[in-house]
Amino acid sequence: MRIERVEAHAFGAIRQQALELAPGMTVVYGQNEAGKSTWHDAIYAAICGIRRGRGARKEDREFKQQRQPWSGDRWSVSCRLVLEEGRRIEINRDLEGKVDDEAIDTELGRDVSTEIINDGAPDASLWLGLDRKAFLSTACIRQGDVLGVAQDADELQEQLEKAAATAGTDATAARALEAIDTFHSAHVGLDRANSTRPLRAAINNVENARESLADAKEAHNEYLDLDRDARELEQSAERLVDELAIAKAMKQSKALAELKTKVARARELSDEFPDGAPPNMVQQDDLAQSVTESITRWHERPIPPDLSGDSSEDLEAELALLPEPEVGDTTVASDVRRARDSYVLAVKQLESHDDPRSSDSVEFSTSLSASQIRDLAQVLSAGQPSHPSPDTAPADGTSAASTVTMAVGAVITVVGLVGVVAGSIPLGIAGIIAGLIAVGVGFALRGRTSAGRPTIEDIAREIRAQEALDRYEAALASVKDLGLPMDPSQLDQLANQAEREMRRETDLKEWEALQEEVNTQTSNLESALADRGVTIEGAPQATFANYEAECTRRAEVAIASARRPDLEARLDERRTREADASSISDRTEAAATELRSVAVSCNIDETDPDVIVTLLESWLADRQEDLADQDHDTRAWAELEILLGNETLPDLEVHLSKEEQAFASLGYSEEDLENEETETSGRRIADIQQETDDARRKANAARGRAVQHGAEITSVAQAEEERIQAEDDLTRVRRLESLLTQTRTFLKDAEDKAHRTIAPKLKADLEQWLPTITEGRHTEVAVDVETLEVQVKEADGWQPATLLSHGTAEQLYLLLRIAMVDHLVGDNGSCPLLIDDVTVQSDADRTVLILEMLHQISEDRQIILFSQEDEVRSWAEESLNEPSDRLIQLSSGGVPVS
Amino acid sequence: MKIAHFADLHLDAPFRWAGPDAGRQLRDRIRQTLRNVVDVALEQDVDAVFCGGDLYEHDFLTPDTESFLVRAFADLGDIPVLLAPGNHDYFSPESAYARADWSENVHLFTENRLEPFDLQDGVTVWGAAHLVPANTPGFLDDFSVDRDGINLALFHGSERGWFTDQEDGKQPHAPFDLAQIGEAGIDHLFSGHFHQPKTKPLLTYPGNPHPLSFGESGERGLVIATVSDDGHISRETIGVSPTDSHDIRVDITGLGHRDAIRDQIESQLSSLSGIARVTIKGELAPEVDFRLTDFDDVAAHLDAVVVRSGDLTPGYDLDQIATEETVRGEFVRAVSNADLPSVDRDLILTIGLRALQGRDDLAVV
Repeated sequence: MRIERVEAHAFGAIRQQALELAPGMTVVYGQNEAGKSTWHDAIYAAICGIRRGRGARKEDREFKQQRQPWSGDRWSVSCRLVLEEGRRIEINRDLEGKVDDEAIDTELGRDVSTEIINDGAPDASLWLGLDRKAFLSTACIRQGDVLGVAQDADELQEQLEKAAATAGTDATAARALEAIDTFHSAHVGLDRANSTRPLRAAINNVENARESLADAKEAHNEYLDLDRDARELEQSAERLVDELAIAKAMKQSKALAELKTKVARARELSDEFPDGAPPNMVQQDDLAQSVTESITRWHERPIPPDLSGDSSEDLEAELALLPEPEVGDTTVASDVRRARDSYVLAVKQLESHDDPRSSDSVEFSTSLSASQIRDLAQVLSAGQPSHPSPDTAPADGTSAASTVTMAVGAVITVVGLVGVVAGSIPLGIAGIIAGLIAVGVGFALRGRTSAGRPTIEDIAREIRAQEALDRYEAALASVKDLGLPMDPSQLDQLANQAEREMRRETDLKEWEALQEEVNTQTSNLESALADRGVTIEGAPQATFANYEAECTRRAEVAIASARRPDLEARLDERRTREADASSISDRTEAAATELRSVAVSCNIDETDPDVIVTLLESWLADRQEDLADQDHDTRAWAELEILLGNETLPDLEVHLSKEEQAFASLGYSEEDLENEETETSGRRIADIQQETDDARRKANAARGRAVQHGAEITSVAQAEEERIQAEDDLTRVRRLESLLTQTRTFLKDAEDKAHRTIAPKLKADLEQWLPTITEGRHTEVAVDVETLEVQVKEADGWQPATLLSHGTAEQLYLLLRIAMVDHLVGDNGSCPLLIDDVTVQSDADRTVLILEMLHQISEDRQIILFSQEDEVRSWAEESLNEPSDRLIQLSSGGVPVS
Repeated sequence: MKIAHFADLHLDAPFRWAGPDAGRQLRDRIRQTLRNVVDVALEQDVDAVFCGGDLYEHDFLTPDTESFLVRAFADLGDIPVLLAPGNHDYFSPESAYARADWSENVHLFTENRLEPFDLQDGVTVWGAAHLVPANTPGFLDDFSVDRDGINLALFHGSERGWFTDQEDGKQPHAPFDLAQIGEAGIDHLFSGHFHQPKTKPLLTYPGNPHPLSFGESGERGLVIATVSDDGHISRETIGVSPTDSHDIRVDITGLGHRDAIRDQIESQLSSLSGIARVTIKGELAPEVDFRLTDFDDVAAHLDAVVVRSGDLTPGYDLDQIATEETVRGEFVRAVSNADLPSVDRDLILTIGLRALQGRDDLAVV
C-alpha cells in the first residue's frame, strides 16, 4: 500500500491543507507546533478511520478531543491510496458523524467500503492484514520504539512481543497466559482441603448440600416412621372406640328390649283397666284379719311345760343337805406315789440281798491274784523239765553271739524278777519269760554250733525245752520269794481262798449301796409328803398310808359336794318351767277369750276354743272363695303400678320413643348386634373405656411427636434444590476450569507456533541489514522466540545486541520493528511506515546512519518521517531524490511549504 | 355429566433449575394451582374430579402439603374425587394416599388393575394405581369392561404412539395403545403422565397444569369434559396455573456494557409475570464485562428468573484476526479449527482474546 495524498479538510489546527507523499521516503519537516503530529494523526485517521460502535472508548474520546477542528468546521479528512494490485482508492472521512465515510475505487467509481468495514467504519489497514489498532501499533513508529534501547531494552522487547502476539495492539502472550492463570486462581483455585477458592468452596458446598439432603431424607423417613406409629395407635384406638360403641349399643339394646317388654306389658295391663284401678276389695278385712290372727294366736299358743318330777321345794331341801368341799388332796399326789414306790423298791432290794457283814473274812497275805497263783501251781505241777542237750560248742563268732544272746536273756530275766518283786507281776513274768527265751536262743546257738549243722526242728525243740525249764525255774523262784507253798495243790487252795475273799468284798460293797438307796428314798418320800402338807409321824410307810386314807376321805366329800351345781341348775330350770306354765296358762286363756270374742262377731255361738277355731276356719274359707275372683285384678293392677312407677303409660311410651331414637342414633341395628360377642357388662365397658382412653392418649402423644417432627423437618425438595444448585455451581466452576485450561493450552501452543514462525523471518530480515549497519563486523543474528531478545554473533560467541554501540543497537531494533511490521503484513503487500522523530535523541552521525538506513528501506516500502531537526532537513535536502522521495516543510498551522 | 380432569400436578416437586428460594415459591404456586382446580370445579358444578396421577412427589411430600391436599379435596364437599396414583405418587402403605385421612368424597384406586367405581347410575369409572415407581405393566392389556352403560377409565399411563413425541427421559410406564381403549370397551380414557397436553377422541392428557420447566407449550390445565348420555365427550381446557412460564432470548449484539445487557433483559421481562428463563445470545462485544451471576437479581417482580448463556459468539472479527501472523491469529485459527462444541469454542475464543487484550474479565460463565 502506498499513500499518495492526504488532505485535512478540517483536522485540528489544519484546515484545507494537503500533503502529497512520495512513494519512497517523505520527510516532513517542521518546527515545534508546525503541525507534524497533527498531520501524523490525520494520515492515520484518513487510512484507518474511527470506530463507530456504541459507546466511545477512552482513546477515541481523547483522539477526538485533540484532533477536532479548531475552526468549528466539520471534522473530516481524506486520502488517496494505491493498493498493491494497483487499485486506486479515494477515502473520504466524515469523522464528526462517522456515517459518511466512503472508500471509492477511483477507476471503477465504486464504493468499496464494505471490503474494509471494521467496527462500523472503513479501515484501509485491513488491506494490509491489520486493523486500525494494529496499524497504529505497528506502522506508526515513535521515538520510544527505537530510542534508549541500551538503557531499557525490556520495553522495546515487550513491544515486539506485543507485536508478535497481537500485532502490538494488546498484551503479550506471556501476559495473556498470566492473566488466565490469575483468573484461574481467583475464580477456580486449587482443590485443596484448606483452600478458600471457588472450586474447593463449590466442592464443600456440594458435600454439605448432599449431607443436608441425606439428613432431610432421613428426617423425612423418621417422620414417616412416626406417622406410621401414630396411625397404628390411632387405628388401635379407633378399634377400641368401635368396640366400646358396640358394647354400649349392646347394653342400650338390652335396656331398650327390656323397656319395650315393660311398655308392652304395661299396655296389656292398662287395657284390662280402662276405668282405672279395680274396686277396693278389702271390706271385712279387719274382721277376717282378726279371725285369722285369733286363729293364729290360738294355734301358736305355747304347750304347757311338763311339771312332773321333783318340785322346786324338793330340790331346795336336797341342796341344803350337801357337805361343803374340803381343802387337800383327794387323790395321792403323783410325786408322793413315785417316792413311795421308789422307797418300797429300795427296801425290797435291800431285803433281798444277804447281809455280808455276817460272814467271816479270811486273812490273805500274798499280793498275787488267784489266777496268778493258779498259774504258778500249773507250772509247778508239770514238774521240772529236762535240760536241753548241749551237742556242740559254739565256734568263734557264733559262739560270741550266743554268749551275748544268753547274757541279754539273763539280764531281761533278772529285770522281770525285779518287776514281780516290785509288784508289777504281769510285766515281771513277761520279762522273765522273754529273758529265758533269749537265754535259750543263745544256748541253742551255742549248741548248734557245736553240733555242726543242727536242723530247724532241733533248734525249735531245744528252744521249747529251754523255755519250759525257764518257766519252771521262774515259778519256783517266785514261790520261794513270796513265801508260798511249793505244793501245787496248796497253791490251788490258796488260789481258791483268794477268790472267795474277793467275792465277799464285792457283796459288801453292793449291800452298802442298797442301804444307802433305802436311806435316800426314805428321805425323798418324807420330803414329798411334807410338800403335800403331811406331818411325818412314824415310819414312812405308815405316814404314807395315813395320807392315802385321808385322800380317799376327802375325795368322797368332794363327790358329794360336787352335786350342788347340778342340783342348783335343776332348781333354776324347775323354777323357770313352773313360771312358764303359769304364763302359758294365762296366754291360752287370753287366746280362748279372743276366739270367743271373734266367734261372737262371726255369729258363732260356741265356747270351746277348738270348736270355735274349726268354725272360724270354715268361715275364713268361705270368705276366701269370695275373694279369689278378685285376686287376679288386684295382682294385675299392682303389677301395672309397679311397671309405671310414678309415671303414666304415655310417659313411659315417650320414654321408650326417646330410648329408641337414642339407640338409632348409635348407628347400630339390633340385627347388627346379634353377631357381636362383646360383653356388655358394666365392668367390661369400663375396661374398654379405660383401654380406649389409654389408647387415645398414646395415639395423641404419637401424633404429637409426628406433627412436631413434621413441622421441624426440612423440605426434601428444598434440600434437593440446594444440592442441585451446589452441584450446578460446581459444574460451572469445573466448566470454567476446563475452559481456562483449554484456552491456556491453545494460547500456549499458539505462542509457540507463532514464535517458531516469526523467529526465522525476523532473523532473515535483520541479517539482510546487519553487515551494513555494523560495517561488516556482524553477519549473523539470533532472535529469542520467547523474549524477542536480539543477539549478534561475535568471534567468541553470542552477545546481546544491547551491548553494541547505541547507534548500532537502535538501528538493529528499528530494523527488528520494521521486520515485525513486514511479518505482520505478510503477503498483503508493503505497509507504509509513519515514523515520528526517531532521531531526536541521536547525535549527528547516528542520525545520518538511521536516515541512510531508512532511505534504503524506503526502496521497498513507503516511509513518512516526521522531524523537527535541522540535520534531518539538511540530510533530506541533500539525499532525497524527487520524485521517489520528497521533503515537505511545514509552516505554522501545518501548511506545507513548497 | 361434567368431569374435571387434571394430572401431573407434582406437588412438592423440586425445581432443580430454580434454587431453593424460588423453588419454595413455585411449590406454593403449585398449591395455588390445586386451589384453582377446586374453585373451577365448584364453579363449573362438575359431577366429579379426576386426577390422573403424579398428584404429588412421593419422595418430597411434606406433612404440611399432605395436610393441605386433604383439605383441598375436602373443600369439594360431596363432589367425588377419584385419584389414580401414578409413578411419582405410587400407592404403597407408606404413601400419603395410605396415610392421609381423606374426606369421604375421595375415592382412591389402590389396585394395579382396573377396578370399577360406580360414579352414577350407568356410569362406571375404571381406575388403577401404580404400586411401584417403575415397570408398571399396561392396565389395558387383556382387559375389557363387563357391563353396559358408559365406561370411563382413569389411570396414569403411556400411550405408545405418542411416547416418542414426548419429552426426553419419560419412561413408558403402564403403556397402552390407542386402539386398546376402544377394544376394551372404554368410552374415554382420562390419563396422565405426558406433560405435553394431547387429546384424541377417546383419550385426554391434560398436561401438567403448573409449569415444571421451561419450553412447555400447548393449552394445558384443567380439562372440563362433558359426557353425553351416549358416552360422547366434549372438552374444554381451563388454565389454572397462577404462574406463567416464559422462555426469553435476549440478543446482546451491539450492547457495549453489562448495564446495557441488564437493561435489555429487564425491558423484555418488565411486562411479564411468573417464571422466566433468559437465554443471552448474540455477539458478545469484546469490551463487555459481565457474568451470568450479575443478573441474579434482575426482574425481582417475577417468581423466578434463570439467566443462562446461549448461542453467544465472541464480538471479535475472527476472520480478520485469523489472518494475523501473530500469536493471537494462531490462537484463533487453532481454536476455530479444533473439534469443539460451538459453545465451548466461542467461550475459549472469548477468554483467550480477552486475555490477549490484557483484561481480567475473561469469562462470562
